[in-house]
Amino acid sequence: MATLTLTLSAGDIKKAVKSDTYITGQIDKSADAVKNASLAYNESAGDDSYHEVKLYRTMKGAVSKFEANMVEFIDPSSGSNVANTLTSSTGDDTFTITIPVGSRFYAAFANTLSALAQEYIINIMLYTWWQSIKPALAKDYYQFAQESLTMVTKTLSKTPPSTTMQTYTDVTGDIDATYALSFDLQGTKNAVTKTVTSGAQTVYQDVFFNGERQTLSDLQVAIDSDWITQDTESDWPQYVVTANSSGSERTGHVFFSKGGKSIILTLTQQTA
Amino acid sequence: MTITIATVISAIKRHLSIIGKRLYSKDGKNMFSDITLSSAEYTPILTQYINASAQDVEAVLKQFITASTYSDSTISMTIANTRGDNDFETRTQALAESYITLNSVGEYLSMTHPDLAQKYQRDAKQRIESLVEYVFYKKPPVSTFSFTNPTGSVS
Repeated sequence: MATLTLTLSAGDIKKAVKSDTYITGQIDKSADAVKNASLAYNESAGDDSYHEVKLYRTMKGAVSKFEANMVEFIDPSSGSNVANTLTSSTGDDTFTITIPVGSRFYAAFANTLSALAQEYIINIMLYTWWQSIKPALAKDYYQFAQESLTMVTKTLSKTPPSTTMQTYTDVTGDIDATYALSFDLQGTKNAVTKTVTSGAQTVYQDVFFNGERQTLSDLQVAIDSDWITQDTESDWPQYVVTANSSGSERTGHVFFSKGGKSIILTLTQQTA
Repeated sequence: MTITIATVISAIKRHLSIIGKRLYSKDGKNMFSDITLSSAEYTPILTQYINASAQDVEAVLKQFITASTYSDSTISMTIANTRGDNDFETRTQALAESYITLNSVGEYLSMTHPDLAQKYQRDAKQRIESLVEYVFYKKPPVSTFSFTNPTGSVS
């Protein structure tokens, strides 16, 4: 699971809405400066308190509409809510929209997505502003909003599926006299290393994945992309070391588990 | 803005004096005594025109007026335009006083000299139109361009 965070400027959004409506007001005023003075004033959004109330309300609504349009990209397993920090006290400051997305969400477009989200919100606000004043103009802004939304959708893509089988090329380990287990798991990516304290030697290695025994030569550790990002074994979700001895052998187990997947490394040392 | 009634009456007197001194009737009679009022008449008669004209101003600017008071000596109106011109109050008062003066002269003359009154009523109409245009002026929302880049991140 990942969290997409978009940071937008409430001040810039309001400035854009005010500027657009102001331009329309000035064009109307240019037709008849005296007769249209009041019209131009009142259709130019801001800064009268009742204008600001409408601007905040429509901004909050537009943000919610944007969030709703993201529903198909939300990671349903995250348990987190879609949220935003826009409140009436935000003023002209920035606010954030946070959306739980899948771990394969293509982050390269995050900035573009943020700009498009801002554009969408502006256009929805303008659509709402003109809806009761100039319905024909409102339709244009609705069209602009839909175009913004189409572009938003285009930026929402997933990265290709990551390699689900992670090959590790070598496993070495040691069980010392106190039965402490050390191991060194080498692979093409994110090798897991546990420093061997003494008597390191190559040992028998049996590797089980989801309960099935794997041979060392084609050790394939299935690992999801969350795990791949971990660099050291201490960052792995969980591991338990057990060790015991029997006759001439010492045997240790390392157990990793997350999300129903598990990896068991069994290291056996011949002591005789 | 606070309009002092005595100031407006003084302006009205000047208009009426000019008319009276410079204009003559068809039979060649100077119109000064016809048009001007006695000192005792000026204040009570003109004050009612001034109050009525001030109420015109209040009516057309109601959207911006949060309070108003009328007394024997002054008329006060609290006018606010959050995006008005920088010198908003001073210029609004000047235009309002001008309208009240011209309209009061027109109202007064219309009783006895309707032909002369028309000129003042036209001027008063233009002045209140200017007042409306000025008060309904809204400054552009942005004086300098600045833009914060929207940003996005995935963590």
